[in-house]
Amino acid sequence: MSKLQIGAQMYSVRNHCQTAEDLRDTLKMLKIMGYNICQLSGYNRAIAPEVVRDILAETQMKCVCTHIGYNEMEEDLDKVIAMHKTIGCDYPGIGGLPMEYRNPEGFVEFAKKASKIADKLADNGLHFIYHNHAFEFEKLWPVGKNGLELLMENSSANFQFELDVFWVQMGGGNPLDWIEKVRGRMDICHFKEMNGCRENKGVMAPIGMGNMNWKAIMDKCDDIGVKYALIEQDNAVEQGSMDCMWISYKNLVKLGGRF
Amino acid sequence: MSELYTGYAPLGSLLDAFGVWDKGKLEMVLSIDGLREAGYLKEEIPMSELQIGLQLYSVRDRCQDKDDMLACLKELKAVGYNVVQLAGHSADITPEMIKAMMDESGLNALSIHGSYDRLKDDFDAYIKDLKTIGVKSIGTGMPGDLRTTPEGVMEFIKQINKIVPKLEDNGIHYGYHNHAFEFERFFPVGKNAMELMLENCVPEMKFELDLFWVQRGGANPIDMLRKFDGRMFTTHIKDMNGSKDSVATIAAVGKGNLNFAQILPVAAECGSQYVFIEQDNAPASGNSVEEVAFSMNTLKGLGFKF
Repeated sequence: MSKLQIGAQMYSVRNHCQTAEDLRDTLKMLKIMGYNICQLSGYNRAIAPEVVRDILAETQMKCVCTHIGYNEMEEDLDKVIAMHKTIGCDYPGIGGLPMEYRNPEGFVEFAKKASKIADKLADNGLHFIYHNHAFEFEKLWPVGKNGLELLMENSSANFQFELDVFWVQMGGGNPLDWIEKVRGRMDICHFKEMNGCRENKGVMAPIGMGNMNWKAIMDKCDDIGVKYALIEQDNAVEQGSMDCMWISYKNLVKLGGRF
Repeated sequence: MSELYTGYAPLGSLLDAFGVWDKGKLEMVLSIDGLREAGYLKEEIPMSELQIGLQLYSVRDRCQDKDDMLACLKELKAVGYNVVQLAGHSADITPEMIKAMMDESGLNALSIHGSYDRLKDDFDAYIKDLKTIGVKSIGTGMPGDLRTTPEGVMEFIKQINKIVPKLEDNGIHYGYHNHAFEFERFFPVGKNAMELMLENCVPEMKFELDLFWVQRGGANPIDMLRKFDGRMFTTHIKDMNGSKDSVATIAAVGKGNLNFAQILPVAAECGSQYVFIEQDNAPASGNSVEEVAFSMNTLKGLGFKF
């Protein structure tokens, strides 16, 4: 059985997270399926942290990480810290790099700025995580490196990566190679399946219904000491999102995944 | 292979090693002679058995006119290519002309991407053309109307299973060239077109795996080469780079993230004898020959033979 624990990225089921009642029912249903941990993202942020805390307690689900806007961290980090303390979550994360930093100088500048935030979060017992897409894999010419490498090289050790293996694959990288590359800098990984491509975009699917080698990916994550992996399927809402989460759960359990 | 080059990004590590970033020096570094002069190459690089060549679709902008195509072939030979795979040239250029151009330029037209319809409906005349050029293999994809359902794929398999033995009787291998659609799983069948073909095609049928499209379909190129162990004669490569809009893009070998130092030895191990570089977007750079020369230099730097 895998050492890492697998959970649900709630963004995958965001259509069922827009009221406090729905959020509670959805978490309860995930709990019944076999999930024990989740990532909060895509839910209605108007639901107060205290209410979220109570829902998590009631459903016995643990929120291991979040995705929030980078601007929130820049504008009021204390509020971010307080929110995470309230819901009992140690890994505040950002879902994507703001547009203005998506260039060679921007990657370096962002790495430095976000490192300060990451350091301050660390002082408060929290860990900053960065979620990638494929644009970070554009090799910058003539630098000869890509954005993710620039981020790694120019950030503090408190700046952690939450590699999304689907987007690594879309960027032309081998997920196993890149998991190795972030050794020591990744407690949390994103699992997302790729099943062929249409109109030049990889098609997302429930885990096991595509072509990625999940056994090898889980083994590699265990090898570098990843603690949690969250299943994210952006297009699940179009296919019956709870069904998708169930299929992903069943397929990962079959491969020895621990939930 | 030189252990200096087994790093993840050959170009990145080259640049690191030289500490140079300006373009003039870069060109020097990227030529084999430049590398040798700088003492970066060992005297003898143990070469892979695999031979690498060019899929001419990459320079199709130069293959629309007989004279330009001949000039292009001569440039490719001068740059260092020896084997090519035909595709994308003008329909006005006849098999006889191609044969003459290959002889004059000194290139070996080892393979061709041909017409599936002619294989199916005009076999005898087509074989004559293929023999005139002297190719050892032909590749095609799957007709559009058969791609979208498992029944369609099975129909393609039925058709190709009749064609492949006839080609083999004529001394020509057939290699199926994939894109990414073959990796989309059919439901409720639970299998994709690649798996259906592997299970149901005659054993003589070869697969010309295009590793870019394997990656794009969500599979690991190395896993897929092993899955098709013994079923390959040729393999297709192009590099994959990220892009601002997070869509995977085609790039010259060395300008993306695929780990060819790791991948190509597995292709050789699994029976592929030739690898063709196919860079669809090379003409858009304005100098397609320069682009494919870059790819060649990257791979030569990794110890591969052309």
